[in-house]
Amino acid sequence: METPRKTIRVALAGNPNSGKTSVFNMLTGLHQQVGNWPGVTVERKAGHLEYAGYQIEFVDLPGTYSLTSYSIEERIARQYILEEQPDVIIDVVDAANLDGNLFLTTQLLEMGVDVIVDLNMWDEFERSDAQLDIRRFEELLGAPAVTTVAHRGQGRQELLQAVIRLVEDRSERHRHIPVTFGTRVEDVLVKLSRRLEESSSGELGVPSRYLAAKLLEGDAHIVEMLHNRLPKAKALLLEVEGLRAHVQQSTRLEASRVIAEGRYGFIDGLLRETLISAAFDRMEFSRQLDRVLTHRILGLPIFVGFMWLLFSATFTLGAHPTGWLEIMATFFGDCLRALLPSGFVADLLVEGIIGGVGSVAVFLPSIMILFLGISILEDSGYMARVAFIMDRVMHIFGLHGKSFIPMLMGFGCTVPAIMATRTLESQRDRVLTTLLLPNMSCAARLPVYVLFAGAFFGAHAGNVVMLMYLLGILTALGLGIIFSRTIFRHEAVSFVMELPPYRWPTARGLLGHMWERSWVYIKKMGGLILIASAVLWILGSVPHDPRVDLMEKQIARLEASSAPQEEIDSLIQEKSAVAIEYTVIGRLGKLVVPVIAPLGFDWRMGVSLVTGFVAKEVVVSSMGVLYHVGDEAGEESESLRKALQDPRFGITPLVAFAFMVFVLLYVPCIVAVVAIRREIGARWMWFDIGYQVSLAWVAAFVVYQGGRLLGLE
Amino acid sequence: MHASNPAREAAGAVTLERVPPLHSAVIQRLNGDPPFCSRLRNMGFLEGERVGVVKHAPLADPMEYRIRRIHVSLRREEASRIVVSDIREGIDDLGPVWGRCRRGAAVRCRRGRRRGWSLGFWGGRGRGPGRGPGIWGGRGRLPGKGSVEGPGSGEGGVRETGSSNWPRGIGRGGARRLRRWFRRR
Repeated sequence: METPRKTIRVALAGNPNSGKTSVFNMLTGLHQQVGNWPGVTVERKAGHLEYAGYQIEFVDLPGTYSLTSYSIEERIARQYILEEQPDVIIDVVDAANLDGNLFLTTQLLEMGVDVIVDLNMWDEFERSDAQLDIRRFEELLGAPAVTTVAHRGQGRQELLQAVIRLVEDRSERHRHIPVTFGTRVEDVLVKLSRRLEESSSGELGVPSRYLAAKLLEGDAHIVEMLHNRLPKAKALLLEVEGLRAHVQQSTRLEASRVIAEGRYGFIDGLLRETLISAAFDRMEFSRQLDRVLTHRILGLPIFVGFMWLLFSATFTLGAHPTGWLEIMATFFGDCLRALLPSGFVADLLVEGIIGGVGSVAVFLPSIMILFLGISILEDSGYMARVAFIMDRVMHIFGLHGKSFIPMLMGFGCTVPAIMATRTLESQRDRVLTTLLLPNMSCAARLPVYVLFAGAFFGAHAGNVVMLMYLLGILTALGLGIIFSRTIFRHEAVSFVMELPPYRWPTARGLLGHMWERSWVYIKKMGGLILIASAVLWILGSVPHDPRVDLMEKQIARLEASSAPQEEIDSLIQEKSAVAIEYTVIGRLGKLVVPVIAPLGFDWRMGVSLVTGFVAKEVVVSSMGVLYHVGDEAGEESESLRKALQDPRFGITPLVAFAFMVFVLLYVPCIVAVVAIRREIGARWMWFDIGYQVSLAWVAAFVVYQGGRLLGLE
Repeated sequence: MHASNPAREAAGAVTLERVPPLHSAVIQRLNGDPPFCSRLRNMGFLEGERVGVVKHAPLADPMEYRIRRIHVSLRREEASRIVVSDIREGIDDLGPVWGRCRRGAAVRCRRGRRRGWSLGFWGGRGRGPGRGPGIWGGRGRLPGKGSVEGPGSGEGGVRETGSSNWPRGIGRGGARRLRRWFRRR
């Protein structure tokens, strides 16, 4: 009899559509940390709470339908339970779909852990006129059951109290494993359990019956585990094979099927004793709605309509707050300038940090609205229909239908698109989608296209820009096919996806999801972006060219003596250009020249590309400075266009095209790179940088040299 | 169910993707590697279950299926690995129902497609049509108990089941109107 510990560790398990996330949010409130499981790219959420004198720590396990070893999410969940041995597992179950959800429950119970069955979405259950004899249900399962309506926050107290009770009354619980499989299999299981206990001399740590069932199913991971832990594993495993063959012969079915049928049979029996089904099919309304929304002919246009609505809402609704934020940022900058003595520090703070962070921060309102939109799609259930409609197209890329929305968002801004990949259930899909995303030309690259296409392609400018976007999509396609066949060859791809019933999203749920995602975005900005902006600004300002001071004095003199304005302006521009050449970034640009010369680029373009690493929008303004037009030049500015066309700089339409291709394909801005690292890990981030830069170089090379060969120069 | 019986397979056994929409069929066999079969079984695609085809996607692939009262979408290629037989029209009677089903509700939830209600549901047998006997040979057994009957029967009566299936906000009147509109199609 142990005294209650001060810390309780609780894990949440359950099917993907059972509302587990809402339960997690309900239990932990804002005390959450989001990260990844070690070594993999599956999202891990942890939270904590103080309750009734205990410190309760929660871990949200990946949503799974079962605990086999075939998918990484299931392996993670299982490993956590077996190795970390949490005190309590809350199994979140969709009460209106008991027979499907209990499949996981039976496996949890077999593992001998303390389970609380959380009958979530209880409001739907009651509304459908179904009834459950909860006491009998608990009795037959051997686990307590609590009803909740998590998206309304109901049931929190009862759930927490059940956890406390379970931990405190440890001695009173009878742990019996209720799932039985039918006599033939039972015999085999009992025999196998006994053999397991003998071989391990009782040191298994897990119920032997569970291991026996898994071995019978042919679970490779368990086999491996036994190899590592048991000395006499080989002999035992041979016996297992023999027993499996025996089961197969006597029942004339494969063992894994027998086990699965046994589980469903148990669930059937359990529910027959305790449940009165809903008279109504709860999918009825959804089926009717889907007659329109996934109609063979109407479905696509309606879907396009929704997507259009989503994105236009983002821009129109987000425009006002974005404007305010810009004003605030400028105001803040001006205040600082007024307060601080002019000089390096003031410039660093205002231009470097506020400028850098600000240019990312102003997108925040639009991004929050975008996340809200995605939450609405997910919580209402329409997201699954999006995947259903778009899967055929996504399949060509080697992706899942659910990747459509992140890819679509990539045309706006890569960063929220990368974050949106969290909705994908499998690690493979998340990594592959994230790798292909940057090819969806983001909005910040557009100014570069407009500038160069406008300067060099005249009437065909629009077509050239479209061509760029198309090229990006085709590249993603090609890469998707290649990656699927090579890097991701070994991972199972399946589209088997549940279409949940349509639900009316609650404000609470929506705001929770939206806030959760936006908060991650904000944290990224606060931390690394701040430092990165500052560092990059510094690199772009030092060392200071002494000639600049001379020029400034000259400018002052000219202004004092009221010389013609053009002379003053041209001197100012020359000063800026010279200043940049001298700095670290300028020198980097010059260093890069041997690498980019075969592409037809000169050092000025090199510098622009390097600054483009900070943010793609900066490419145009750097060019403005470098080509002596001033940093106020935009992509529409005539003077910049003319400047580029100047034969002194050696830019021809061919070079321009090669440059655009390079900008299309090379690395995304630093914010996106950081996002990639956060989402899928440093290793993949380097891979992404590597492949993108190489690809950009090769493509631009082919374009330029190929064009020259063809005499297009 | 025999795992492989060429005669039985030849006679009317097709793969699932060839079953037309609004028809159902009984799963005979799952062809595919263990991860695939496991994934399907986790979702309820068990040998002996009756699965209904709801529709094809606008781009013809994937397809939406109904099994044990949930809807799952599968790609054509995945569906082609499920061998089925005994194709029938209608996809409303699938899925197990436990306990008694009140008579009034039974007729009302038919949507006018199939009249009548399989008598097997009275007396609490509670298995969906087409579900095979399984390895236990008939009924579920819980340890230490005899065969189990559902909680009583014959207590049904006509009941106004209302619009509990529709999300709140539409209201009963609205739901009724909507349903009537759909029925007319």
